[in-house]
Amino acid sequence: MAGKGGIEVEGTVVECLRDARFTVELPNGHHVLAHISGKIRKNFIKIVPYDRVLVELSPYDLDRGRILFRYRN
Amino acid sequence: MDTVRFTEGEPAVSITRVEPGLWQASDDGRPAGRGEATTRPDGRVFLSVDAWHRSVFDQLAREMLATLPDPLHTVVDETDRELLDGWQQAGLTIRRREWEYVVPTRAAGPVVPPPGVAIVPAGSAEEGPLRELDRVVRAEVEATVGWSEMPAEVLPHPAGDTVVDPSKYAVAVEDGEYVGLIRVVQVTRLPRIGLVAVRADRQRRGIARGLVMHTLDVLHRAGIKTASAEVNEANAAATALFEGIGARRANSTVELMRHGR
Repeated sequence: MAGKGGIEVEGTVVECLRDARFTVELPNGHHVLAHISGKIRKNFIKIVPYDRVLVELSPYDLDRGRILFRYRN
Repeated sequence: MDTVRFTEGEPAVSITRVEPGLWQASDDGRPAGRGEATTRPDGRVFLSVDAWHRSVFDQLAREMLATLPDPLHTVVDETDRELLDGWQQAGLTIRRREWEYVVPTRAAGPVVPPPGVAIVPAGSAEEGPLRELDRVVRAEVEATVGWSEMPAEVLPHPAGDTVVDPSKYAVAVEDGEYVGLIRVVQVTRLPRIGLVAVRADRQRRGIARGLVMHTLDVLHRAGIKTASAEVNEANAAATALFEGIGARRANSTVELMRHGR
């Protein structure tokens, strides 16, 4: 739901977890459990620790998110 | 726009097809999910669904699958059991599996290509012969296993030209002729070996291995410790090549497909 009303925030991947999920640290120090968006998956974009990413926070649970975009170095 | 109201599931949502390839699920005005259908350069249609709840995923998938003609594809990280289960429940079946390898550059020793073969480093290959070689190897693959069995390509190819950025390719040269190529892309700290190909009449001589070793050596000298590569599970030669140089499997991606109904 990129750009469609969700809360989007930049963060840094700090850990790759099992089940294709990631821990992302937000600028305020908050950690979010995030999975990757379908667009990233379809484009075979790999996410690794220290990547800067754009995360959409879940409107149902602000501890969960979806990685919408991975920034270039 | 066509909107369908679902009353079963939690949350109950409205799904609207806002564009030919875009569906949005709304939970009382709040975005609850999104489905997309995109067409790859090879013409195949790939689906994706992003939803915060499984029931919304199911409803979006059902709407998309009811609307779109077969065949339809999607890709899933195999460790994402919930997503994999969702697509399988929707009627898609696993068509192929790709292993993601982590390739240590430290494995690169002295680069010794086969006798009579020289490696032209990335950025130095001539565009004309490179594009011709790319056309030849793609035609050979298409005539055998089919390009759809190869690593996916998602960038558009103007006028069928599949060499998007010639500077990303190193090539193997024999008797003045380009006979093999390797493409490496480095967007982040983890470079990706995207394509290794050798002309059919020059295979089984170590040219591909020479190209890979050359690339790993270049990356190693640049201070990069690992690269990544995806290999089709059914591609025994590529599997042997990467595992023979110390690459290890880190993950797997499956491509699912709905065949004709």
